[in-house]
Amino acid sequence: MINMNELLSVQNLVKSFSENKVLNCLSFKVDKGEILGVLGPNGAGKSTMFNILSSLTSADSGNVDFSGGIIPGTKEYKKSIGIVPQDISLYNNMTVEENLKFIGKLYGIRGKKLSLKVDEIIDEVNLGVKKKDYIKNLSGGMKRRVNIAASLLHEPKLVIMDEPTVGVDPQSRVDIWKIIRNLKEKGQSVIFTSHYVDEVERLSDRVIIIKKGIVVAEGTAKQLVSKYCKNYVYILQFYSFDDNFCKELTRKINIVDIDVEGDKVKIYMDYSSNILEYIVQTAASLNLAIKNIDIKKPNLEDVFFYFNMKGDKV
Amino acid sequence: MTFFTLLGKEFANLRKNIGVILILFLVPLFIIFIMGYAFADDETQYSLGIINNDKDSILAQEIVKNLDDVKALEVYGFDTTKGAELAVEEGKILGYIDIPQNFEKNEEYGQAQINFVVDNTYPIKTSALKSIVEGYLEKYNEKTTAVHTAVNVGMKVNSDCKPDKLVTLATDYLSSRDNDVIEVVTKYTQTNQYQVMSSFNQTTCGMTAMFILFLCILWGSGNFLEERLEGTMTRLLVSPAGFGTIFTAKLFYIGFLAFMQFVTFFSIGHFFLNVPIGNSGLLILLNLIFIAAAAAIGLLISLIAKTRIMSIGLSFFIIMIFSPLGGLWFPLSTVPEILVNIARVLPSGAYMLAIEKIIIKQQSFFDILPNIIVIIIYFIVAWLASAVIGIKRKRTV
Repeated sequence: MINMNELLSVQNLVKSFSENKVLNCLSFKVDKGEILGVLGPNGAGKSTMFNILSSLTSADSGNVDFSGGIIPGTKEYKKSIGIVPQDISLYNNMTVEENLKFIGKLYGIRGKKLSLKVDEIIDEVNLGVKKKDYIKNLSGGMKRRVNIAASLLHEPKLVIMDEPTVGVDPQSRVDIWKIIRNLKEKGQSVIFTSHYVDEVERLSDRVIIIKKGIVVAEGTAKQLVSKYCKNYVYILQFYSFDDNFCKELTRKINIVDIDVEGDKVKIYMDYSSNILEYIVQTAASLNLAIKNIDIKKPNLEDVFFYFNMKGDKV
Repeated sequence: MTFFTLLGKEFANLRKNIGVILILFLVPLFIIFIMGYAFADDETQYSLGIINNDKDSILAQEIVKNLDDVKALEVYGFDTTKGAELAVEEGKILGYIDIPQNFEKNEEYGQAQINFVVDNTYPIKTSALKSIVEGYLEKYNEKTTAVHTAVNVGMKVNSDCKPDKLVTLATDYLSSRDNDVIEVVTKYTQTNQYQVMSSFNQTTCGMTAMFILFLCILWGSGNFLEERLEGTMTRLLVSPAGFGTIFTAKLFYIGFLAFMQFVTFFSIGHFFLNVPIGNSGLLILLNLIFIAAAAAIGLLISLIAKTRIMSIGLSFFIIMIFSPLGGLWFPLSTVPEILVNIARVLPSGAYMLAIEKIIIKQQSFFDILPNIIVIIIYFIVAWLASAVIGIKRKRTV
């Protein structure tokens, strides 16, 4: 069942390849007009999820419900979703316009409507001057933008993007962000995966973190940070380091975790106004000279790192 | 509509690659001509029948003897025209000359004729025999015309005749003649009775089959694989087009080009190289089935191969087995029985055996049915294997 605000509901998806269970009861939902960011380490099951939602493969068990009772895999479903594959899936020996017209026709758009839609979408991705250029002659960032444009021609209710900004220059990355935000403004929903955590934090209304085929965390970026990573990170760099510093500091104050990498120490702990005083005093008592101090506020990257490296312990 | 959109995309891409069209059509034609001539008749002797109806004529006897002395000719004597015609029908002789009654008498007035009938089933052999016979008679004409002129002029002059008078007499004599001493009237006949393929029949059929294999297997598998490797297959599969429509459109496109190759090569073969067509309906049916089987094999390779190199390697491997063993390069009539038996179970061999039955032996559908069944088996096996791999891949993509 799917409720009024939801566009897509994924329940208990299971998918195995031989003995390897890639999706292990994966469940999540996407609301109408929502941008859902998907994070997960390599091998977490993101691509398999992407392929199941794209109807490229089928799940062993579980349900995918789409708003309006549209059944996944059907023509109607395929017309309701726009897929942006990670690899550029365009014909190199065709121009931007020819590619878009061909793909538009596959979705049943024809005649004048197709020409208008192609022109509109080309302007939207800011490639008007490249309309007659062959795909093979475009830069990587431009190809990515055409790749996205090709998935938006038929105005899908849900756009599923697999790492849409991978390998593009900073300007193209910003352009792609604009496209994603525009989709939300038009009321379209977006699911996108990315390895750039800052990008997910910046764009997503909600984030899910997948690990070993299951959603391990779900919520807004703020919620996830406050729930899983309350700790600030104090990064100290010494001219010369002594292990006794860690022992002494742990004895004095309540530290969540401490990492030592050569002469660099990372201290994870709750924010406290006099914490720096303790740190400096401890270093001074051991005659250790501090070269640099950096204080990092926790963000989504820390949450991702937390689940990636230590999530199993939770 | 989606089917035509997909088809349109293929043809639009082809239009941008004029070079490909040249390779698909001109290269095979070039090879058909080259191989047709290369493998044409390395015979050193051509069989010629002679019917001498002016037996008492010294001149006719001389012609028969002289032709018999030509090393490139194997001369057989016949009493009647009917006997010679039968020998041509049976393939015992390639042609015959008919020396009519009163030949010598007419020769004196420059009105002698020799009828030369030659079987045109094998154009190369025909042309070789024609040039030998006509070449000989031309020389004979030159020689005898000179003799006749000398005799004729000599009869009219005395000892103090001036050279310019001799020239005038000779010119008057030559202009009074209707023809050469002997005029050769050549007629062509078409027998179709031979049980073996002529060189141009062989190369037209063999090269058509080989280039259908190249197009459907090598190019076809490459076309499918390219979509997969370039990532555009994902784009097609996520669209509402549907798996079946995508593959049908591709197969139709490849099949259409292959069919056009068949039509082009056989038309040129028929109109320019005297390749017989036989029952055109059966010929088209056979080629459609062969194209379908080859395209299915191409599809299978595209699904098995993980890289372009692997696809090219596999395609070449299959074509290089199918071509010589299937009798596409040389006639199956020239190979040992064991190789003929191998050819029977190959789609290319079945194609060549069936085509010989259609165009040479003029046999019926039921005669070629066993060969057609062999080709259909390849089609079904390749298609089913492709479907199994495709379904498995959809599960594991």
